[in-house]
Amino acid sequence: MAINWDFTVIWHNRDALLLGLWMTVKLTVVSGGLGTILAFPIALACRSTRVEIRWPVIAVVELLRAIPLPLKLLWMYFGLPAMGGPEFSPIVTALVTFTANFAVFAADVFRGAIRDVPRSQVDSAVALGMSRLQVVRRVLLPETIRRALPAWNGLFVTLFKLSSLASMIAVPELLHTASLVLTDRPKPFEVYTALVVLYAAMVLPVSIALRRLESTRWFTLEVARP
Amino acid sequence: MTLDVQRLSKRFGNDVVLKDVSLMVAPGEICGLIGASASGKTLLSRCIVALEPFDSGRVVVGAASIAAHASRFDGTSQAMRRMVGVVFQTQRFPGYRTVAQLIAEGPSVVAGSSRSEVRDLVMYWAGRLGLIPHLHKFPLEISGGTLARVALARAAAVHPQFLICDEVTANLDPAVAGEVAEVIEGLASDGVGCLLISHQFEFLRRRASRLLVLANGVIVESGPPAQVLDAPQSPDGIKFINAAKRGR
Repeated sequence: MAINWDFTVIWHNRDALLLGLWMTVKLTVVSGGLGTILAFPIALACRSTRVEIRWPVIAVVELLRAIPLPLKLLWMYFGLPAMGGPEFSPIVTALVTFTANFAVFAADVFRGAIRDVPRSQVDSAVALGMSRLQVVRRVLLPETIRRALPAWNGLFVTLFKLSSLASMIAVPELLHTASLVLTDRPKPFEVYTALVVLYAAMVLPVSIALRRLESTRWFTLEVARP
Repeated sequence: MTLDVQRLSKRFGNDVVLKDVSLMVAPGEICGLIGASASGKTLLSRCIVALEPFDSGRVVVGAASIAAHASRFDGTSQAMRRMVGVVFQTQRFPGYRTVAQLIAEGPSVVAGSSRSEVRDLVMYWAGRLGLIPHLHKFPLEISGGTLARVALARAAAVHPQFLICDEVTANLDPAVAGEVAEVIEGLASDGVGCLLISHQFEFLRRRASRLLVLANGVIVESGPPAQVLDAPQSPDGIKFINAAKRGR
């Protein structure tokens, strides 16, 4: 069988594919960013000494962690409106779902990181006269970010790839755009190979940059007094 | 105004770890506190600044007073910490903040001083503690003795009226320990009342106005350093002083 590659299909659909890529980037960055911001208070709430705060938060976090992400998307998009709930556009549905998903997994990473912040560092900040909020801002937050970065890095890269699930509810991101291109011109090898290259070209630099960040001075953890 | 600890008691379950501890530190005084490991010295210093709630008694400094069961972020606990600073035995420093940033943290975050005031305070305390050459270094780049001085500078920069130093010179060689002790002496001559938890018996003999011995959560000796070190009265005091002397 003669091999008959035709990569012109990529070139002819470059605008659509780049728009899809841009949507993928937006989905990832926005839900990763919002999810991270939400994750820190969720992690603090999971460690709260007050049961009425801790239990409901842990229940919701555990529930969200237990459900497969595709199911969460389908439930939000098809399930919720079917029982009279609000109906969101595919993009909003994907953003909300990915944000919530990222928040609960990042919260778990942060929870472990907060637990590892040395008590003596917190105590010395308290002893210096800091308020509860100042201790969170000056000690817990910077220490947690540094401790959580390697695991957060993995979550973020995973989110980038999982964002392709939004194609299930017709969000015009990269994978969905590719399937539209394919219905027009059935060149699966060329189109999917282009996607492989595009995903790798996006994910690898981010992943490498985050790794390098981990080894900078800014990420040095605490130093104990002898 | 004195730092006044009145009949402070603390239990862990049924275990009484501090029992009716009373002590008083006057401004400008160095009051020594010695005792075996696990006698309750560190716990006592944590209780005085309300890092740890206690079960009975009180701590009074001027208008600030903390009662039993006060939690660490109560208003009274915060007020107490504005008057009483602590430097801990084990302390960890964030590796990503410079010495200057570490000293500035109290004045800028806690006291809310202006940028120029903070800079002046940092320069003043760094100068006094010999930290000027280290201001832009990170904790990983300086020695243990220098870190001990950074810890003192951090506490001193918020102008506490009293300072508790919990074995700040342990693990330092005698020469460096001597330098740090001199810094504490300097603070005391500024009028800061110091409660010095230390094993530097000779320094305490020379400079402390009073010496307390804590044994199993009870103050068993209290008096002029020479008397406590040379002629302890209580069985526990005799046991500890003799053991400490044999150890050297």
